[in-house]
Amino acid sequence: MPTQLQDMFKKAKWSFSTRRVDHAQAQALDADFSVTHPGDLILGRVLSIGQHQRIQLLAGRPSTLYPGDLVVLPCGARYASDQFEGIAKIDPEGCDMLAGGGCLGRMLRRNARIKAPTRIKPLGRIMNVDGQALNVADFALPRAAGRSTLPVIAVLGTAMNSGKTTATVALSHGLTRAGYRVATIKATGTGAFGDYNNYVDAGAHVVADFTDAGMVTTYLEPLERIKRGINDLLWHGQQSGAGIAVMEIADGLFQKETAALIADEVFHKRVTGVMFACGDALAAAGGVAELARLGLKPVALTGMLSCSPMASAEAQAATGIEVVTRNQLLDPVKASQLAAMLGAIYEVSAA
Amino acid sequence: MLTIHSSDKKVHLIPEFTYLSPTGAEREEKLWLTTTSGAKIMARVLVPSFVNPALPPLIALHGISRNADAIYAAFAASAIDTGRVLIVPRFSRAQWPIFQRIGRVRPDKAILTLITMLRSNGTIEAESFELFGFSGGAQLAHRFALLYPNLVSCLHLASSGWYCLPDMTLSYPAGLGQPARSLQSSENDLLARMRAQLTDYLRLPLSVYVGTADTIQNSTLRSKPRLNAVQGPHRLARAKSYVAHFTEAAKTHGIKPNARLILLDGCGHEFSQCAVLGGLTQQIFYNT
Repeated sequence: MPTQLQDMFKKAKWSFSTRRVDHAQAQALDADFSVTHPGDLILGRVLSIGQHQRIQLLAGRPSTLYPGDLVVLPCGARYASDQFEGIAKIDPEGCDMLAGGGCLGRMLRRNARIKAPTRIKPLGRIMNVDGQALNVADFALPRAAGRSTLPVIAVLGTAMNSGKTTATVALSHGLTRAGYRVATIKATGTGAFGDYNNYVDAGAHVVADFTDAGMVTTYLEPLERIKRGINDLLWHGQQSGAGIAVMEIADGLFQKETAALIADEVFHKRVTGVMFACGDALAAAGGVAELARLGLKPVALTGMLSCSPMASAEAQAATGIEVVTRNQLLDPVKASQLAAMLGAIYEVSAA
Repeated sequence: MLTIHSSDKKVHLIPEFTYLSPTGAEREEKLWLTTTSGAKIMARVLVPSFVNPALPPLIALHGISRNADAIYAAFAASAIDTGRVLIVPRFSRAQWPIFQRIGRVRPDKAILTLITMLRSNGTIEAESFELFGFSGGAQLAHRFALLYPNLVSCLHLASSGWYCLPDMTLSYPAGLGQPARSLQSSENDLLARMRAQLTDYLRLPLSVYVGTADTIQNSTLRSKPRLNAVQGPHRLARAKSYVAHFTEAAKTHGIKPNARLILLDGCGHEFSQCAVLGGLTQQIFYNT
């Protein structure tokens, strides 16, 4: 490999969503972007700074971006109602940084409250020594050898920022303190270190997201691919010794992939119970009704709603479902009570 | 049920505060923790130079005199000798005016925080531990084990004033039945967990220790007519009663009980006397 290219790979800021990639396999560049697939790694140079002023690095810290910076991001789509919708297309003249964790594509729409995306000039698809494009899927966890039997508590919500991650983290921590070995999993969404780091901080025994299953993002991925990824992650958790999984499903119930997933019978069988995060009583009633239509009943309501005792009382009266606060989920007694309601058992090795 | 008299065995005498070996290879850590609710506890942790991986750590809880140092001094030599990590928390009077019971106040969370910290810094690796409590510490110990039986590998209760009996016909907190007063939501959760995990609790190896002279009834002993009628008028009677209730409850649930009562000859309600002259230390470290 030419020294100049070697230096470029070395100097480049590799985004968090490339964390499983073996850098030693980066040996060449190919400027033919017409054959780019989602997940292909792109070496690019920052043209202008927009919405994302920083890139999330492999080391788990953000790095401020400057025009001229070299970056490595996988090509991917994104759906985030608070930010962008974009597709996995690389335009040779310039493309859009769709997520700080690393997702490069073409923006289609954006929330009115945010800036235009940071622009990246793609320099080439990163190739291995055999001339094949490096793709995050090549570095995924091994495929599951069977169907995971872990009890799974799925955390769903009305939308972004409804409190799903807070609930996922708190429940994982509460269960961990109660003695469970928890696999905390982000099943869908776009790769970023925020949620991932929060899961690690909660003390989860195993932390993994869809990137570990080979997807930069689950947006526009076929349902079967997403379900296979979920089973791979749960299998990995089980093989690593976890006794229970807390699994966050990104976005709201009406988001395309989430809607398909929660309507799926196989998913229903995989999930032992559901917690629903929302912001107010009306959202709680609507969410519970929509879940009921699909044959799911939350074991508890949580999220921003639970910050207000008045809203919680309204929601509880409207749905008949208990509202649990973050502090309650952090409590090992409450957390294990929820787990036990779903049939989860302790799996503690002999000391 | 096994009754052991101290005259039948060798008593392991421990000179006070001379527990470190001549090599000084053991390590003592002092930890100050703040729980999520803001309450603080201190703990002394003794890590022997050789830790026997087959032996879980021992957490030892003091009574209402808060004399954690006395427990540490009494157990340290045996902990070093057997290669067992010894963890002795201290609940200060100012921060924890009540620590014996788990309800509106949550000493269980402080213990869990301590365990989390010791695991995260690599001091302990085992997922469960043996739990000892003396007097008020024994009250906390058995209530903790009712809530988290999965975390406790063996339960040692010494000279407890009274017990939460594994009996659904007795009102909580004397039993696990319908409480006489209305509980807060969080207390209802606690009771629900205790009930749900009762069979796991009844599977625990249980040793109950009490001095044969621990029969004094004074202001430090909770005394109510109904309590006295069910559990007995003093600690000796209540220890016997508890082992009997535990054994019976286990059998009712189809579990082979693993409970024993150990009488400490001539001992009253004094930890050091029980530990040294009564052979309590010997029992915990060498006879379980």
